[in-house]
Amino acid sequence: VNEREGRQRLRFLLDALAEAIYTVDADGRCTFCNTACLDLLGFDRMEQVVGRSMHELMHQGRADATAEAACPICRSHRCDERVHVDDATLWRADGSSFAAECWAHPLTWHGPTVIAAVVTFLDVTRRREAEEESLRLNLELEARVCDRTAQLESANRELEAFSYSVSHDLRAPLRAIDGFAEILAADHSQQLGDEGLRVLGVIRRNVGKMGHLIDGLLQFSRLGRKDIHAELVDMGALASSVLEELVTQETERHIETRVGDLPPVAGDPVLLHQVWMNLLGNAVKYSGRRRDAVVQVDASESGGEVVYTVRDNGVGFDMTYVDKVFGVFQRLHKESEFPGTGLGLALVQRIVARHHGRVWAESVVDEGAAFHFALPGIRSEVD
Amino acid sequence: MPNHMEAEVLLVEDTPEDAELMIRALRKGGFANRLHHVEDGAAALDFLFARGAYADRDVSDLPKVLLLDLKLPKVDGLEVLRELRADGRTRSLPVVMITSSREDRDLQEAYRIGANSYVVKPVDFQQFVDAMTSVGMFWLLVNQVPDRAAR
Repeated sequence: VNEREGRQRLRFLLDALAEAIYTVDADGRCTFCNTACLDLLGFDRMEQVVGRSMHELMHQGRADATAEAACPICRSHRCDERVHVDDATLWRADGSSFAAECWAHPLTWHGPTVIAAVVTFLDVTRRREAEEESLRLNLELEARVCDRTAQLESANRELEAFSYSVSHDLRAPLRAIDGFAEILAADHSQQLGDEGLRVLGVIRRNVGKMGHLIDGLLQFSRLGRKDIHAELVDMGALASSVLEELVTQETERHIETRVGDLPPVAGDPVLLHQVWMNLLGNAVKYSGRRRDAVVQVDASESGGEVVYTVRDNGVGFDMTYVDKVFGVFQRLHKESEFPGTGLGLALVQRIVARHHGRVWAESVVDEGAAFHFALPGIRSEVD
Repeated sequence: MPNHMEAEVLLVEDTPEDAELMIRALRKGGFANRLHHVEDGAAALDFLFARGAYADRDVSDLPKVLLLDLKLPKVDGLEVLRELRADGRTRSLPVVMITSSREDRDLQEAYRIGANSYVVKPVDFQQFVDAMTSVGMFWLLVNQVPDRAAR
């Protein structure tokens, strides 16, 4: 009674599984199968399956049949091997098929020879469909990326053509305006009189300003296309020489300069020179009203990057507008107070971004400003 | 109008205003006395190879310098330069590219095909005069060209 009850309990457990299970004898004939197995294969009763060759019944037992000798699942009862097949195609009673993942275990309880095997399998149609869908989506995504890249490249080419014509076509009329205004001043100053000459001067100054804007804009757009020629750059020497050059030009002012220990960095020396030029140039410019102007440069290393800081004690800016300082043509001071094109910091940001770095700033009005830029450290490059 | 038979400077410039300013700038340094101006690349080639309207010129009577704008109608500046360098008679003619373009690729291409120098026209007229004076000074006074017979 106990044994019968045990069998019943086992049978109950096996029938409750969602995974299909069957066992075969040494000839590959079914000796048992659970309810999930009957359901998946499309049979009603165990008697329809037991005694039949499982290979012929469901595993590629159709027109394009694999020979039983070559069937991987059959290797379990034939060759005493554990087998896992994750891309099997199994056939139902009605002739339809489904994708399945199978595991086959040889049973060797009664000695070294294989007397049977137990096979479990799962219907993986949905999983297969999901895989195919994800493959399809991936291919689609790739195609879309290709499309977008092509669009970007064409936009870039257009931009290039645009900046090219800006450089040539916009500068030419400016030159004519300036040249002929000069001719007017040189050859017709008698008729113009003082006021006429003053007005002419205003025209020429504005022509010059527009020339600078065009040059700056061109430089800015060219940066996006320029290749970075990275090499080891001695930032200390670079910053010091730029600062010295700037301070020497300020013949009527005294500016105290302090340059700390600046670690070298891997980058494009021409572009990094431009970064120092713009940041230090701003520090010198915006501290112009202080009698005790101080421009200070230092650096710190943390988290695999080097943070360089340029500090001045000049007029500073209102932190409300900090988001605007790095924008193209954005200026926080009047042209009459501090001349400029509004491109310097935009250039700095672009150059630093192209070096995989970042820039930020902080300031207190009338106390000074600090501009920081972080670049990947050399040690992290090596890692 | 200088006699084109004995031009020292051949200026190829299509924009009349630019040409006027350039001639004025050269004149200030005294370099425009024997200057001939043409407005496109095809006319420049006719002049130098004594063809068409310039059939009465002597091909060996080359100017001391050719001031060549980059962007020209019909035959552009680089194309003119290429043709000049491909012909033995004009291979060593000094050619100064004078252009508004600061584009790197134009500059590189000009030097690659044999320009002798490349001058970007400044917007500021005074700087423009200075640049033209230096160009005139160097190519008309300082630079030595081979004897006509040796060319």
